[in-house]
Amino acid sequence: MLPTEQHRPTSQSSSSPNPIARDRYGFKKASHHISVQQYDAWNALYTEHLSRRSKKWHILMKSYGLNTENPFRFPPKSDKIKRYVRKGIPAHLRGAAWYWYAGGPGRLAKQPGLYAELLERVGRGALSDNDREHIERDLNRTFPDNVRFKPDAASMSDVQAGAGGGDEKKKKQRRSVGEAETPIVKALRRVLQAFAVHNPGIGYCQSLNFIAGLLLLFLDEDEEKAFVLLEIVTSVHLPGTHGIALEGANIDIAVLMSLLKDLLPPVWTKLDDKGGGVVGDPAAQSLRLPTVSLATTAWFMSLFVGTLPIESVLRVWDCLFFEGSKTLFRIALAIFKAGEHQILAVNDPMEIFQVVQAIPRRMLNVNGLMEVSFRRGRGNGFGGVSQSDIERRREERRKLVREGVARTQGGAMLRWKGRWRSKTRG
Amino acid sequence: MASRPQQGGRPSGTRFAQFKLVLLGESAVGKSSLVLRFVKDQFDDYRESTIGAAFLTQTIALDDQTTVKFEIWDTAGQERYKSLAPMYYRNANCAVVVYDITQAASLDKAKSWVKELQRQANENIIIALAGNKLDLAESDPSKRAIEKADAEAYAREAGLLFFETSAKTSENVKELFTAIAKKLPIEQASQRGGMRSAAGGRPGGVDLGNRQAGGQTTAGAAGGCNC
Repeated sequence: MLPTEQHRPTSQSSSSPNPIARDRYGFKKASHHISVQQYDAWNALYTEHLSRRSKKWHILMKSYGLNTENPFRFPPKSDKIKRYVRKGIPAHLRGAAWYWYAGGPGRLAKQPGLYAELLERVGRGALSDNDREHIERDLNRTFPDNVRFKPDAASMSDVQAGAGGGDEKKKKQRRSVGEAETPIVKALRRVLQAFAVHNPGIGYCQSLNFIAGLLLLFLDEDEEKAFVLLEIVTSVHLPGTHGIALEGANIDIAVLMSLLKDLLPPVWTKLDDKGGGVVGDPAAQSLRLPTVSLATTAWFMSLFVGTLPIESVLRVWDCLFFEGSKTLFRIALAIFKAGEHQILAVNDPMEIFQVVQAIPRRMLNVNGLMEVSFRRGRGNGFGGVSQSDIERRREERRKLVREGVARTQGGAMLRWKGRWRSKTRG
Repeated sequence: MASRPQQGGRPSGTRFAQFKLVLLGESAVGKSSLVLRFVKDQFDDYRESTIGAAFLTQTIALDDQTTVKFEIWDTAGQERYKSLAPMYYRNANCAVVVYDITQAASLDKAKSWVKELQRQANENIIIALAGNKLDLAESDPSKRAIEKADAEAYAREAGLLFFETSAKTSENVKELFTAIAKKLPIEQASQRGGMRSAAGGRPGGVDLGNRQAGGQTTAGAAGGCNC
């Protein structure tokens, strides 16, 4: 086996004459961690699951007198609907259901016209050069394995012919020849630019490209809705996570580690390398995290995009928008649970990082993952992890960080913390 | 992992050492692509942006007797991820600081990384400067924004290894990592079964202080580097 690594591939080899095998959403079936054969074997059964769920949802929607052709409203939240959501929202209802259950309509009603206004401000030069540049750099690096973002070479000429209208920007950093921008890439640019202008405390943060990109895919490229959901994700579900200092990301990683310590003690003991040797005063001591926690940064920041196979990501998002951010922690714990034996068997501390990094990338069996996430009972599942528990742990950690910072500001400080502070002021 | 030789099972006379390597540099200069070329000999024209960091390993044979294993930390390039960087370069034995020869500003960012490493990282760290995307300048010289001579002069002055590389064509990629391996203290490391394990998982760390939770000083204990 080759060493594991982070990225999903964009091609098996650089030029393959065979048509690329794609899934139902236009993503390549194969990745560095999953072969087409593995995908197909799983998919044969999963397709049955999907058609079963689709029928169930159809009946459900009908029983509430709701439209399934152009879905907008959905049944009110209840235990029954929660069960339905946990088993997966059908693809054709998915984006609309995310928007509805996350509170999109209410958010939009508070500030109607905001998105258009922001685009106007972008047009008038409100976007910083830094944000503009970083967004441009990532546009072609967002889902290059999806046909709507990066069409197959054969169909490129069609896209180019239909692109028309010229590009508003100088295309100053074009890296390859024959690069055509698809409509969804243009939409992604606008959503990210509007978001950056509206959130000066965040601007553009790498990983928002993946969240916004997947939202656009499932919202029929409705930019305003994607923008509203991006706002909700970054304020309600992941507060501060994408901020200039990623402070919220570090908080949530610490919360996950504290949950591991309480709920999967053997795994925690194995992972806890005392922060890889960062030692210092007691405040620093209590702030430090095991090295392996770094592997989970992307889990939160990208909402598991690029970490789990795409179908699993979609199922996680179904629950996230319905149930809130506790979902992310339950899933993260279930990933550790799934890898428990592997993690405990590792001898070299560095290998743990590789193992933790690789476990979720092979997790096609999303039904199994979901079951462990939501099952109740200590050690068997993580359905007992409540939103209030998460909020309490987040608050505790924030307090620790504040106290730690106050301590270092107060006098004898360690150089590494001084560095941290200067970095986070940005 | 097949690529992981066992400590006890090597014939005498052979040397094996593992080292921690960190990749740093502005976003989209090709850090992940360099690693992908080095580790898997692959290249994608379009790579997803790296979020957080990725960890990879690659083992190379320097000669019949000498094997070096790199533990590679590939980091996200955007400025805000910098707050995490000390966790990556802490205890690193070597670093590759990457810039894009078609983007003038990316060398400035590389220089600031070099400065930070020289100030904060392991004092014996081997740093290599890599000017990537050489293929672009070779197919269209007008795309070059940073002259090789200028970067080379800077590297010499700062005491860095220097290569212009292309992850796409693989030009100088293997050479880059091999040159780093040749500068690493393999003899010392292999005698003790690898740099990292030699000092309790954390050689270097010179800037971190050695006080433990209770406040007592434990300098010279496992946290210290005695190389």
